[in-house]
Amino acid sequence: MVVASNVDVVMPQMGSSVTEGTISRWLKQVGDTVQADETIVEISTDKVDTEVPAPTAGVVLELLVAEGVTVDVGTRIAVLSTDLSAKPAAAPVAAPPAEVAAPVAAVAAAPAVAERALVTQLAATGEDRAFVSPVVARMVAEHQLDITQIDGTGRGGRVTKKDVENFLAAHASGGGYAAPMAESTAITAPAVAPVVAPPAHKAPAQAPAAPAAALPAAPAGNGEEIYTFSRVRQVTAKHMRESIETAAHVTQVWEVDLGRVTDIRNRLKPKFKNDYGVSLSFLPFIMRATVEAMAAWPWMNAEVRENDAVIKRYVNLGMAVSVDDGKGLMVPAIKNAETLNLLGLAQAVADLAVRGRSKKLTIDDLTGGTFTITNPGVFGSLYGTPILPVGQVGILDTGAIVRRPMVVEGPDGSEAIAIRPMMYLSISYDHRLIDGAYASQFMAQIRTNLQTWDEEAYGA
Amino acid sequence: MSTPVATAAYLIDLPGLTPYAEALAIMENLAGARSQQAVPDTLMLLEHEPVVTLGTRTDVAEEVPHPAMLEQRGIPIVEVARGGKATYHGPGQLVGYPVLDLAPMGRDVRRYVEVLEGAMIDALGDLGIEAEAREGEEHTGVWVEDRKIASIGVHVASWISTHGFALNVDCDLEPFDLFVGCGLQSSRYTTASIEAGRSIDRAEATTVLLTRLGERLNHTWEPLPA
Repeated sequence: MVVASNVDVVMPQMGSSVTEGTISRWLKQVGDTVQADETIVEISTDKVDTEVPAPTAGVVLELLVAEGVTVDVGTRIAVLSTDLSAKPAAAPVAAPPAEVAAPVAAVAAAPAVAERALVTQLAATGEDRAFVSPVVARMVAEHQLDITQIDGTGRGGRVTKKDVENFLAAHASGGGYAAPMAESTAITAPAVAPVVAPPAHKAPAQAPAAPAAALPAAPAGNGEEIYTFSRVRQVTAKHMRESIETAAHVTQVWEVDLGRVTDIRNRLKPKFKNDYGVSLSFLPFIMRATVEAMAAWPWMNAEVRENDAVIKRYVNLGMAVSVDDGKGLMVPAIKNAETLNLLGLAQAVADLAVRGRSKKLTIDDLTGGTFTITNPGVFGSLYGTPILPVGQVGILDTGAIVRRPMVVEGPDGSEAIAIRPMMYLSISYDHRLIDGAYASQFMAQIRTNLQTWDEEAYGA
Repeated sequence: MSTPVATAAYLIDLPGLTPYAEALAIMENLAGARSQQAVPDTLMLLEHEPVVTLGTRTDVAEEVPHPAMLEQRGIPIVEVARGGKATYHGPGQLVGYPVLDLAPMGRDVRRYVEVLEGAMIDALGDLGIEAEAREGEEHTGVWVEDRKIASIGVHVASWISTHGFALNVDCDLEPFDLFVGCGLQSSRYTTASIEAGRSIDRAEATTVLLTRLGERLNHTWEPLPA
């Protein structure tokens, strides 16, 4: 390797006011060849993504800054060799250096209050009148305020109308504006008297990100805690309301003997693990039995559009997955589940689970579902009455598998009590399209498929 | 210092609603032509058919956890080669894609964004609305108090800008509740019509915006020659 031929790629200057940039994506990896002016990396600043071209043709020797890391303009971010036969050194992947990432996070998190106060002061002393709008100036005069006491949240610390309103509200309610409430989710100490929202404060209900003096939200009482809905929670809530306000939900519950499936699973488990590296749960069995039943009862795999039902010949089988420690929900779908045997379904379940955890799900995974299975039984729930995903007419809920004493019939017709692994299966369906008799026959078919599992037909 | 003479720039004002893919194709062709100096700076103005666009690094589970609600409304979800979060475009939102050579602006991407923000703030001022830019990454775009009225997302390659801004003129805000996107629910968005307390249409918004953007960029707008 010829040292003299190495060329640094630096975080480019993107204007006099831009001092740092974030590596958003490397388009070239170590060992790749690049043409001069070919894009090597994408940099993001506030609202702009910039493609940075290679300064020279060559081979990528090193990537020095990981994706997602912010560095100053002029920082070396990669090294190219103009020697096209150059071989990169070992350890090619740049790990995010903690000491770089940490100060960045700090900068992002804290909008330097002190600096802002200073700028505000300048504005007030008339050094830059452009910082105060006429509306603000009028309000300040009207209420005889000292503008240097007001925390500006506008650009460059500019005091906005809202800031003045917040300031007034804080003082009207007796709340100390100098000690803003830390966060909306905090457990609030029991107040002597509930804080009354100031009448002058016309901000719409929301959680202010800026240092706010008064929160319009209801105060938490003694021993209470306020959880402000995350946006994921809000969207999930809207989805649930939309479904329940649209579909005519009905639920029925069935009981299935999983003895035969348990035996088959126990036998197949090591083989699936050793040969395919996939762990075999009960879920793929339920899925296969369900998809098979749809062949006879296709309306369960449909979508209601006003006065039409669209019956689908393909099955995109949704799988409810809880995210964010149970505070969110998503339903990725196994596409064309009707083409998959037991192994294919087991692999698809594992794939969605892995990609779900590593945040690699695509929009394609989350769209196009035609029927859903939800699986709260793993936590011990016996049965549920699930809400349909919007746009579907059936959702199957699998309960916990419980060993129960059951009345069983011997070959000679005699009865006995035996210990059997039993599971409740419940289904919610949209009564606009599906009647109870139809849903019952569908469920009976699923039960039959599970209790008389056909290894040859269903794949093993 | 004397003001430099305004230079002519092209304006492509697409009537009606433009499908996202179509606008993207025109924009990319323009960017290529601009980088070859085959066309001057060009501004595309349009309204999109309803669409939710995703950035290349969008965490879909986090940003669009229940896309079925969009599917139900016939709103397509399109992946776009850009950074940033999921966002919605639709009728009543004036979308501008300025395809500009940023070299004369000192290749200063921050300044360019401030030009876009400033032009929209001025244009909104002409409509009697006091808008402002706010600090912080979670506050990109243009705001009326704590309500977002315009979004900005710019892509730069070879110092040619693509993508741009979306100004809510008189649009349905409900779609913003159907996904997470940049984290605001619909009540945190607003439109020029809501803020002005009267109906503002695309033509009126276009007029003030072209004037103000022309001032900031020192451009006069003329139609793209056929």
